[in-house]
Amino acid sequence: MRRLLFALACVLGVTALCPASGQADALVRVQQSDGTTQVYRNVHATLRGTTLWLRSPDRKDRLQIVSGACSFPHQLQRCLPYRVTLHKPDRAHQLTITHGVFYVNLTNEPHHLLHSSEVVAPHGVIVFLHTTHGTYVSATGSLDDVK
Amino acid sequence: MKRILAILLLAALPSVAFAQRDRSGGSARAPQPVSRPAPPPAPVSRPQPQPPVRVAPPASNGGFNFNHDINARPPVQQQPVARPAVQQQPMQQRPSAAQPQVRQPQPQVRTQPQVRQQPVQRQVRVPQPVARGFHGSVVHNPHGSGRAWTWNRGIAWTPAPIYWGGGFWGPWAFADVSGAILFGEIVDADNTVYESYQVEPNSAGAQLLADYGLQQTPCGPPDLVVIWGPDNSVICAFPNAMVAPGNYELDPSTLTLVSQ
Repeated sequence: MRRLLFALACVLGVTALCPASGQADALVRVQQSDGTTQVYRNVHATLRGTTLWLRSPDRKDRLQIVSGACSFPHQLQRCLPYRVTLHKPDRAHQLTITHGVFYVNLTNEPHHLLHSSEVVAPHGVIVFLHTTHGTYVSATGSLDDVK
Repeated sequence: MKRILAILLLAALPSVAFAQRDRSGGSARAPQPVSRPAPPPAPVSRPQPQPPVRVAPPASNGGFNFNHDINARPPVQQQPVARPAVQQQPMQQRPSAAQPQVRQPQPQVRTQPQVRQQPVQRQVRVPQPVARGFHGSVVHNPHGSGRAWTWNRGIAWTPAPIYWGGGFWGPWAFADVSGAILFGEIVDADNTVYESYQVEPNSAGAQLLADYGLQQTPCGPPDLVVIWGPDNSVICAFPNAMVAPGNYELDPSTLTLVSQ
């Protein structure tokens, strides 16, 4: 009985103390040209080299953001996206963007965006995209994986 | 024993509830405001202006919706922005392998950078790579190690093609360069005009200039340091003791200059 209690207490303690482990908690906001806005929570964000992947909450769609010109203004890594692909389960769609930027903080300390009050948390990511059809995409949150 | 179990459960339940609220993206129901008795009506029956109520869009748990981008017709190709006629004033010319740079006396001097007035939509210009083939002497970066990409924390710098200079000089997208400041231009032997823009502070290009102690200036006048960057981009700077006037090509791997 004591063992059972101890195990139960451990499980409850771990659940309470580590709610964010392995958790997809990025938030994506998509505002299209007609003003309609969708907000997606619990988005999974992965950085592979200089390509950022955002996986939708239902885990079916992936947004592939290919970037270049990555540099390190101060402590943050800044990359310029130039090719964005929406991978649906049945096919992939190319989204033509006019410009964009994303910042990732690969350090263990929070850092301010330059000339901004915005703070990028440790292992955090901030994304801005603008498509040729007038859609604005923003994403903030934590990176779930860096490869 | 039952008391211990009860205490453990009571202690852990609020934490679990808090964690689950976080996991639901903060969508847990907010506590209702305490209802207070309504104040007596004002004696003057003028309608009070009500602040607009902002309704946050509901969170979607489904897939990404980009129907306007996916299903939309391709954007109408706009006519390229009419460029003003190339002025016949002598300007610094872009060198080519067959035709060396021609220096003309008394060039047009542009001292004030022009703020570019462009429409938002602009036809994306895909730069065509040109082999300049500069094989002159290497002006070593005094702050560089000579090893590839150490200046960029070991990350290989690759151009992002929809930005001027691949993004080396700043995040100036071809489709919207309204945020960039035009900083002169270079005309080559074929009368092709290469516009130059002000380098963004904190960009890789700014680091290059800082390493060599160079100060950017609008292209056009003679006897400047002309640096050809990624994707046929060009900037100009005043010469100094380290870098003499002339044409240089940029080696982004080591952040060094190679003279013509």
